Amino acid sequence: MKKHYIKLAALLIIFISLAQTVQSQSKYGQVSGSFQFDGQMYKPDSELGITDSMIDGKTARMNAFGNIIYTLGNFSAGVRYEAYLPPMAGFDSRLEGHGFANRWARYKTGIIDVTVGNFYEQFGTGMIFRAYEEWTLGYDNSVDGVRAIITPMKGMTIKGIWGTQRYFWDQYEKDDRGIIRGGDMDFFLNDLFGVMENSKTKITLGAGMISRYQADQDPIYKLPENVASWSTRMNLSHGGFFWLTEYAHKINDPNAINQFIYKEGQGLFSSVSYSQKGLGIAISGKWIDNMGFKSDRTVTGDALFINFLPPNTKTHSYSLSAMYPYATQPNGEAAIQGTLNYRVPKKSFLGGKYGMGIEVNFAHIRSIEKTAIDADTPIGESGTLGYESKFLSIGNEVYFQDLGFEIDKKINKHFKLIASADMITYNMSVIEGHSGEPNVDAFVWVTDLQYRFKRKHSIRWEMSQLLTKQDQGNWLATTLEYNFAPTWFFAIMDQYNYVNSDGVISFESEDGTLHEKTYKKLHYPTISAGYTKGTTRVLLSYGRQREGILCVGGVCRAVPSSNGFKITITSSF
Amino acid sequence: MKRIYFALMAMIISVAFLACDKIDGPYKEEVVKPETNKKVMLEDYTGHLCPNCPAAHEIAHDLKDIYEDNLIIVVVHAGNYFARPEPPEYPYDFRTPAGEEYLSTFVGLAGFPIGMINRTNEEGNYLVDKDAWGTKISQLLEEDPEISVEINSTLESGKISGEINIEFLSSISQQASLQIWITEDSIIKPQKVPSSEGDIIEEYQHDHVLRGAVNGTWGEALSQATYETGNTETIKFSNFQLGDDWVAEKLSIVAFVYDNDSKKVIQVEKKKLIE
Repeated sequence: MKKHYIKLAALLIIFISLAQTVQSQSKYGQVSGSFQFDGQMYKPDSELGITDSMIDGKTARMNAFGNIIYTLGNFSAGVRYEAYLPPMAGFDSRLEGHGFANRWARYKTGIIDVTVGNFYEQFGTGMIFRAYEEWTLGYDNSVDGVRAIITPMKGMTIKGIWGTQRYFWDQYEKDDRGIIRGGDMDFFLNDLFGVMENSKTKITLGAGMISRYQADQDPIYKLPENVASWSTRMNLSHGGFFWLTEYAHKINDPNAINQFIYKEGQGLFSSVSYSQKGLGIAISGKWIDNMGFKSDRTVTGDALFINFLPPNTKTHSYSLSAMYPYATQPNGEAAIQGTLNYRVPKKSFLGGKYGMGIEVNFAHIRSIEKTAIDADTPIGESGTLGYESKFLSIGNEVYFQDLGFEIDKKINKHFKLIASADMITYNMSVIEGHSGEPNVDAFVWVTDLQYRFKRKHSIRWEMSQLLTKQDQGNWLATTLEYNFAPTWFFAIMDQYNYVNSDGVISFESEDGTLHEKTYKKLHYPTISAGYTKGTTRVLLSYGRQREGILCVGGVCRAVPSSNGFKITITSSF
Repeated sequence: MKRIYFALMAMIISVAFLACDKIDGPYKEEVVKPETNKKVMLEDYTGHLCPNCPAAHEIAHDLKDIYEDNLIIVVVHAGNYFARPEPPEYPYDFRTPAGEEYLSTFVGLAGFPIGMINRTNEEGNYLVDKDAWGTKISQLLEEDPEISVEINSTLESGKISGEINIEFLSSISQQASLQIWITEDSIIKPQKVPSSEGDIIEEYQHDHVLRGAVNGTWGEALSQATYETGNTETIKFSNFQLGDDWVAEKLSIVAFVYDNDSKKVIQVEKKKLIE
């Protein structure tokens, strides 16, 4: 037995020293990467309506990826392996499978930087082109092709791309999706013009264009085979003042998102912000008309988007505040958002010994005004120009509104408090597609108290409540978490949907019909624990998870309710 | 300075690659229906609670206008999510045991509307988005008809009997089966529609609704695994009981022969029960 242990120890020593040699010796290059494993066990839960037949024998599901990157001087290459065996509930079932989702190689020399294989890229704010991946959504629209980035002189960047986008595990075959090609240029005027070199005002101008080719084999409509979209943008900054504006335009693109209308699309995004010590203000506005753009005009759902329409809402981190997140409406929306951050100075009346942070946030999103093109054609009729809309017109329907206040204050050496309140209006009919449902008006408050009783040891207690007369009624949530920084944490939490006094939600629809639905008053308890060491993190949780919607950047995924054990392991090297 | 000119020239040249097609109305194609005996089946999965499904039915009707008898549409109301009865507004139950089984076999949890064309599949994926139906149908109609199907039926005291005559126009070398369905047109019942169109259409005309499988959910296997050109086969069926509220004048029989392995429909035919 002892002999085996000695052999094993010797092997381990050799392996470790080799690994260290590879990492430290740049002559042979460097290997780096990251890894994540998300696994979940599902069990039936009669109160949630989860039956054995729904689970269908797939009691364990997982999503995992591994990124390996090799760098040697100007050259780098990598692969990304993914496995969904089968994918976790709520993720698109077309993800099922495993293999090398990405493989790429990149070489930078002098003024040119070339990538072949899969890459992620963005032009400006992404309104005409953004290829990105978001693991928590199961979203990946990487481009498989070639990319060249040329910097002919300081201050000028020119990008060119050509390829096809990822569609789950489908390999590209002739005519099964569109081919995209495009270019973008960025000019940083302060580097290009000597007269501006030392100016405090910094200006960047940019413009981009992207075009999709997809054959027309459709027997009903005459479809444009080459659809182009272009945008121009300007960034201006001066001291603490920053202004970004981008305008985008898309020519006729009848597709499944706009129900095959031939209207052109437009988008405008502008944001202004100012910050100085203790104060920050940001205001942004967005106007979108028919800007849904995909690699395949017939595909629905969250796949194959060529562009990305930025959401204009605050992303909430507390669970009840995040219950009604907004999803960007590519067919048309007008949005405005303002955020004010103020730090009340120390030693003042409100500020106390340590000062206090205040944040006010307001977001309001409505429809755009659409008028019929003539008396015979209803708005949005397929196979026509669809409708007319004046640039920057604002419609009558409210899609979303969020008015919120948050304060964070360190009370004394041991206590820190964060408290927030939000008033949310959520148009369930438009955002979730549940026609006939009334808008949800909700009020959410959260208090988050942290008590540090010893160096590195702290306890956090979070209480929050969501009050609404619509959807599933009221919620109460609480979390108690113990932290041993930075290694361990242990938490118990419960979300209780107490609905209202009798559990019945009712509403009267426009035609006067009374709808009533009874909801069970359910608890969703969970216990979780986590361990972090260096770049590795393990997270375990067990309990009941409520159904919900997870949105990242205006793109959302429905999360079904579930009961069971969950594990997440992440690491990077 | 030279570099700027080089860069700008490169940009202009690359922009020239990016063509764009602006289409002027009228936007509909002038399609000539192909002269062929090949018929294709569109299976449209739907439910009266699915607000986006009427748009799919409109596409199916547009395609029927183009392809007429060469396109046979069957609408399958299935699933707990979109087709379950929801009184007081949507009390009717359109579902069938056969439809539920096809849903779990081919569709799973995919969102509605979704369809299948001749049950063809690409690497195990049978589903086709509604806007790709036209493209797929036009591709499949270019195939040669390998068999011809003839339907004969009689109705007596609420029961259907009849026979399906199959003639082989080319040889078949893999085991196939025959499936016989009953569909009903013009069932007037409520249908959910998007909010922008008023939430509900009380008297929506549901056409081509799958009512039941006459010879079992998966049909019956043909007596032989291989057939030569010119061979024929007749399969009889008898005493299939009509449902209580089915209207005989609106019923049709849909019969198709499909490959047991790939499930692909080789040929399909439809005939009204009462001419």
